[in-house]
Amino acid sequence: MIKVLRAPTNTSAIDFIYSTALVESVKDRTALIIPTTRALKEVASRKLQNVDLFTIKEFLEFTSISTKRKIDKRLRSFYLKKVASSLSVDDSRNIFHNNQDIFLNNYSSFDNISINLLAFFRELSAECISVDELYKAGKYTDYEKQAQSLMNLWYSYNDLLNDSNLVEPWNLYSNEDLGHLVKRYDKFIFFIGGYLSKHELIKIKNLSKNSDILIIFNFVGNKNSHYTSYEKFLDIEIPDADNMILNRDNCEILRANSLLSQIELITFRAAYYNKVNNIPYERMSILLVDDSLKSYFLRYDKYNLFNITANENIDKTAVFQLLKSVLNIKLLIDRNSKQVITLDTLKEFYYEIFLTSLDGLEDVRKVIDKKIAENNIFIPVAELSTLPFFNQYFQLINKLNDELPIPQLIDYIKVFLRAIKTHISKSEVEIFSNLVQLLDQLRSVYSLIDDKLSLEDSIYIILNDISTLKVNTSRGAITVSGILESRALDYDVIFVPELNDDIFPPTSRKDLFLNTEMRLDLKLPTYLDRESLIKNYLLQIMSRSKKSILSFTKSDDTRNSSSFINELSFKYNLKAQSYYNKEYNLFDVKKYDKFSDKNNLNINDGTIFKTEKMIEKIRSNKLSASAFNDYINCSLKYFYKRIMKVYETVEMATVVSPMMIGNILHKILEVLHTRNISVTDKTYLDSVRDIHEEIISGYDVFTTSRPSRFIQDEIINIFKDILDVELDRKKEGYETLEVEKSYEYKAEGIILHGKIDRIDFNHDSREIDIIDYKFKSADKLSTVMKPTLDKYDDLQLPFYYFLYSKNKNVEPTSLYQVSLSESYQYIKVFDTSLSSEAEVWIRSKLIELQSIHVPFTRTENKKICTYCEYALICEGRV
Amino acid sequence: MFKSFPVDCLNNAEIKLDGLIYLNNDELDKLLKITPKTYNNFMKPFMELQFVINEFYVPVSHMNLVNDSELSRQVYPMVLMKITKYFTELMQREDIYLALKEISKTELNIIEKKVIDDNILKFELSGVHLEADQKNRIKDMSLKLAELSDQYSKNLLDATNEFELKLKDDTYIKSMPESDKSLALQPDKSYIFTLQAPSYISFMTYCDNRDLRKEIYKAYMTRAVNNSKLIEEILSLRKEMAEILGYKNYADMNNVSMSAKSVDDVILFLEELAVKGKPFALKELADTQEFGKKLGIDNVESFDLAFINNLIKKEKLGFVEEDFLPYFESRNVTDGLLKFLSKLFDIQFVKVENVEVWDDEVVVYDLLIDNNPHARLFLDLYNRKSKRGGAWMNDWHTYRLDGDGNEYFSSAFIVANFPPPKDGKPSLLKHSDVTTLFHEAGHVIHHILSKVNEGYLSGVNGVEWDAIEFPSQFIENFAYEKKVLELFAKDFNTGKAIPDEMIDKLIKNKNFGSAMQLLRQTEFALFDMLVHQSDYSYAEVKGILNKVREKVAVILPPDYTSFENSFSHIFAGGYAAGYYSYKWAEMLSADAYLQFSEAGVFDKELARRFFDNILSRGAEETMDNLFFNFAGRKPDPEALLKTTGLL
Ligand code: SF4
Ligand SMILES: [Zn+2]
Repeated sequence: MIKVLRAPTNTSAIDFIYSTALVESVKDRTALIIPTTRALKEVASRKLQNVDLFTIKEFLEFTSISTKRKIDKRLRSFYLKKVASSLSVDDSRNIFHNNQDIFLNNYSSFDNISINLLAFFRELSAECISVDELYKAGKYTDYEKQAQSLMNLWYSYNDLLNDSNLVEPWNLYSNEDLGHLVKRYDKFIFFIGGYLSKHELIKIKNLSKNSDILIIFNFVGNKNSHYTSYEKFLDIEIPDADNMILNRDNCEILRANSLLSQIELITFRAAYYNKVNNIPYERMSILLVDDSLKSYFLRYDKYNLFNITANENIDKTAVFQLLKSVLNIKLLIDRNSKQVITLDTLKEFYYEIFLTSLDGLEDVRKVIDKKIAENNIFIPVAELSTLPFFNQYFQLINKLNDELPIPQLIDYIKVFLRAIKTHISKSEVEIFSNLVQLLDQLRSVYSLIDDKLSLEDSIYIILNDISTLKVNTSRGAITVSGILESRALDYDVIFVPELNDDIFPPTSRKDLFLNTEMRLDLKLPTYLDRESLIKNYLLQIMSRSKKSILSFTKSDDTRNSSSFINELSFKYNLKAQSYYNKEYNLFDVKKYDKFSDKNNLNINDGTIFKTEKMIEKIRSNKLSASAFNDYINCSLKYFYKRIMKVYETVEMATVVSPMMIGNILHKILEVLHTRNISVTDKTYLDSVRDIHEEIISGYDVFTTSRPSRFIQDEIINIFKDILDVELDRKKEGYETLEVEKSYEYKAEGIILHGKIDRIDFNHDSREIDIIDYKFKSADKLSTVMKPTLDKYDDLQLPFYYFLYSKNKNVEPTSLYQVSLSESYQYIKVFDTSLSSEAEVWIRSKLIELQSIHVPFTRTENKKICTYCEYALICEGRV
Repeated sequence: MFKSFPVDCLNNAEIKLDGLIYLNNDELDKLLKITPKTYNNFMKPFMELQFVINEFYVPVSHMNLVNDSELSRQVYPMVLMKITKYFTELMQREDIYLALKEISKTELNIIEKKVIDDNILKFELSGVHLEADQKNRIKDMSLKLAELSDQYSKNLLDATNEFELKLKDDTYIKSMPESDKSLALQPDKSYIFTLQAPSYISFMTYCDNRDLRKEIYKAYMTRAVNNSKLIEEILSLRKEMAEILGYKNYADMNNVSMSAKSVDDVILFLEELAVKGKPFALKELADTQEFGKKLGIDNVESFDLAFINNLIKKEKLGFVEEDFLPYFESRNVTDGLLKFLSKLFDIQFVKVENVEVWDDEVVVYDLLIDNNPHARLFLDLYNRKSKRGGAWMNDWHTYRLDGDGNEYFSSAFIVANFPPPKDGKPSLLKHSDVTTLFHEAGHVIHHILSKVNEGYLSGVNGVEWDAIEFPSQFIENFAYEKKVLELFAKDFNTGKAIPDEMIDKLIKNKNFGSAMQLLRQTEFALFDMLVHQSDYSYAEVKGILNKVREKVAVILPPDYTSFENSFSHIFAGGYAAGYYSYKWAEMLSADAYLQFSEAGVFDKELARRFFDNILSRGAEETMDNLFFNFAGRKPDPEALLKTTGLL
């Protein structure tokens, strides 16, 4: 028999579960099944008699039987790649399109797509979707082929596991054994927050044949089609929604200019509620819409207030960085046939900030600096051993073979770690021993595999596994956790920062192989369902809190508040207040970590005199169009960027930047060309879609925070424009000759180089066009039309003209920049009748660049400073 | 390295301040739980906590002064109230006091010891260490004293406002400058003069009718007779308070926050000034009397001095302020000032562009010592509507090292109200503006040249208040020094340097009547010092004043005057038993300045000594010691007479 309850929205879910379970379990032995481990811990802490607690996952695994070993999640990708590599040519193309080389040749790119594949397989399995159903749901003829190939992959994967005596746990859900449970418990209580998979439904139904079941549903709003289908399947009735009461006076929405501002605000507000309203910090929570935000809360927790549940990753530690550097250097050396390594690379590794706490590296740094100062560019590998640190420890790693089984690599790493143990700072001792433990564990996992992998792949795999190791750093009292983790919990004060539309609601990556149409067809929850679910979780937590402070970043046009904020402010007539900071009261934000030797440079007077060494360096570097632009814009900027190589410390990308979109567009155009897909092809747009998907899976951002759908839509829209314009050009007789081709030319002793986006040729008129794509709106493109060349700050196209005409001995007819944003438009950006003036001008600048008599100075055009990333250094306030 | 100025500091200032204060209190609670407490585990972080608050507060209050706006008027009072409450409560916390006591028993170096001792003293002066009933008595008395001071000023204000002198036309004030006249002019063409300082001074200087001068003088000098009773009460409470806190009397109690070694030292100093100054003052008086005779005044009285002296000045000096304007174009002056300081102390000021500031007119400089950035200076010199009048310096960041060894750079603002350049016309300064600028710059370098690691003793923090005006007045002197004026005082039209005669004029003008001036201030200071030695009755107070005058003054005011009833500096302001500090600091600055002047100003060795022993040392030692280290001897009161042209 199944009884159904619905958790009231405005009281604590935990309290409700507790009291229900208390009543139900007075006489009966009860199994209580709860969605998250956190909620489970909460309930467990209240000590119910006669009740055993399970998470859903535990419950599912507990009721499935197998004689085989469940596969370790770390091996999945490995096995999947193995079978993917032996797919037929057709299958392979159907799944990976023309990118199979990219995906199958190394682990790092395969890893991304394998997550998608596995998610897809898991869903098919959990939702009991048959192959036929899948074919039917796919509307494109192409899809059937793809689905078939996917299934082939899936079967061979399972076969391979089978041969290795392994099994995927989700394949087991159908091998159910409820007998022992039925015997043990009189009653089962399910607390259901989200949607139920088909498997879960079946299991509940089967269980109900012999046991009493109570399902507590916990969701906001009306029952949607999924819930009504549960009603039908389980023959139950879910009560209608009660009224959720959200007191608008308890909500506050703030518009901030950065995440840091929000962290500062949260810190201040938390202190305020603690002191003025007497709310203990334990009763406050920061709900994060994206896990990647956690590291910021760790880094900027000045008063030890935050308790970050899934702690910091090991990759911020010196041990890890050192290991990574050493392994990477090994790879670099192997790849380089000349057996040399550039000092710049070496320097980057050894100046890595996380390594500053290590003893013994100082000497290495000195040697590197000295070599560079002596105008060396490379160091022969043979000579590396003259570096003290290297000589002692690197040799251990350098003995590694090109191909080896993973366990062997692990052994080497362990030997290396043991050797450097004495250099590890006190604060990392614990991490160090955890790392060694993990390596032992990994060794036993990978001992199942005796294949020899390339060193590069094994290193990737091992570093990847190690990077999942968490460092225990929790300390404060305010819980910092994901929204999903904290559903069913309640707090007095909640803070929800970064409610921006690009990360909230999050998009699910499952949609790669099962698009929304198919989901609708298969009656699976779509992204809309998931979105409304997570929004409702959030609403629920808010309605149970005394105070909720929601905030988002709005600093320029690129990011907007989440639809959740918009809906809320509309519905409850809440206005966003602003919380802007230019300078922080709590944090010192150090931007240029690598720029520490201020004493070597008197930056304050803004003039840097050249030395012979600098000029050597200028001459030995190739000069790109953008470096040239930097120089003509502000020679001091050129100095910082190209000679001192001062980089900003890179913040984690939590959002997709316009630049990234630009890069993606570029790549798509490039792939289209190499695959010979032309605008006249009927499937042009479909190809674009496919290529786009392939490409984004290669970007890290899309794996940490999910791409929002709108990017996909935006890109497709741009290509619709492209299609129109390019068709016309085709009609006019233009043919694309080259794409992304590099050119070099030595002028005045400096090698100029540039990668030209596209060159078109018109067979009728014999015209040659140089085309450069820009992710900028058409009116922001920079045109060079007058002979006053010193007035321009972007001479990229004249620079290309110069490069191309010198190389080919022909003069391009027109130079265009094409705006990829908003509208696709050809803009003529260089008056070619100025070409000889341009050449003279460029040459004179090249001579000036190498002249010891012309120092690097600040630009007079202060507008450039406004967008200059070195403005802080330039003002001397690093 | 340098934080830029938070132009947006008023936004959400309350949220931020609340947050900072609460978080600070939490941190403080944590610190107080530490056992055993040491300088490093308690005092260092404790100081940092206060700096966080202060460095937040300064820009907010600064914005209120320089960029008055709807927002600042709304935000500032709240912020001020919260800050005041925060610091008042902090100073009353016995647990912090006990922590300091505990630390004072640990091993400390000399500087750490001074930080702790100075702060223990501050706490003890607010009575934190006393038994409950005494503590309450102190609290009650403080409140009562505040009330009495308030009443004293109110009475004075009422009396000031009570009197008006009406002239039906300008017959007797013909020589008064138009600007002054227009202030007194009424719609019916008559003139009204009051006892408000600007009105009163102008009248006394320009009114050629002796009876009228006498009338207004009498009214002025007999203001607020109802304050007599208050004086007794105030003195008696001050005495009692000093006794409860363990001092013989109020003057002794105040002396512990001073650099002068003892009250006796101060009195000796003042008496010496009186003795040495008197012959010169008599000479000046004789000149006045002689001139008075020409005007038909046979017996010069107090109410004639300003009038006659003004005429003498005109005749003898021929000083016209406007003549000097072309030599002091404001940019030349600032550049010259910085050039002078750079040259003198071998430092560098580098103009910083592109930093965000609160107004386009603000100019920012970084101070480099040995080519290393050390401090930042903001200059906001021109008058504008949203800016409070006057000129001042304000310190923002303090040079220091925190507990982790992080170095903090200092920063300061100079604000003035000079006429802005307009419509192509340059901003020309009066020489008095130039000295003001030099004065403030003196405060600034005292603050930003500091190299003291302990924030509480760094820069102007913790400097005794009879020494705080030392560097400022010291630098001010150079505004009359030929070698310095040479650097910048050039006619902005012709580029011609200011002629020597004009410099002489400036100096003569400054020194005119300086002996009488000196004696007047000495008289006040001595009276202040003596009257705070016990709980005197009003009659005794009068007696003391008369005795002081007999000793110091060269011209005795009429018997009916009761100056003590309007001496609000000491009875209602913050200068009780401290009025002498003006002169004291002036002595230090005059002495130091003379050494430079005699050495030809730009003397590397001397400058280095001044830098190493005074400017970079903040309050690491008492100024008394620092001066001794610099000069190798005690300061000489005669220097004061020398710099005012008497010796
Ligand atoms: S801030 Fe301005 S002057 Fe400085 S490097 Fe950048 S562009 Fe050049
Ligand atoms: Zn001053």
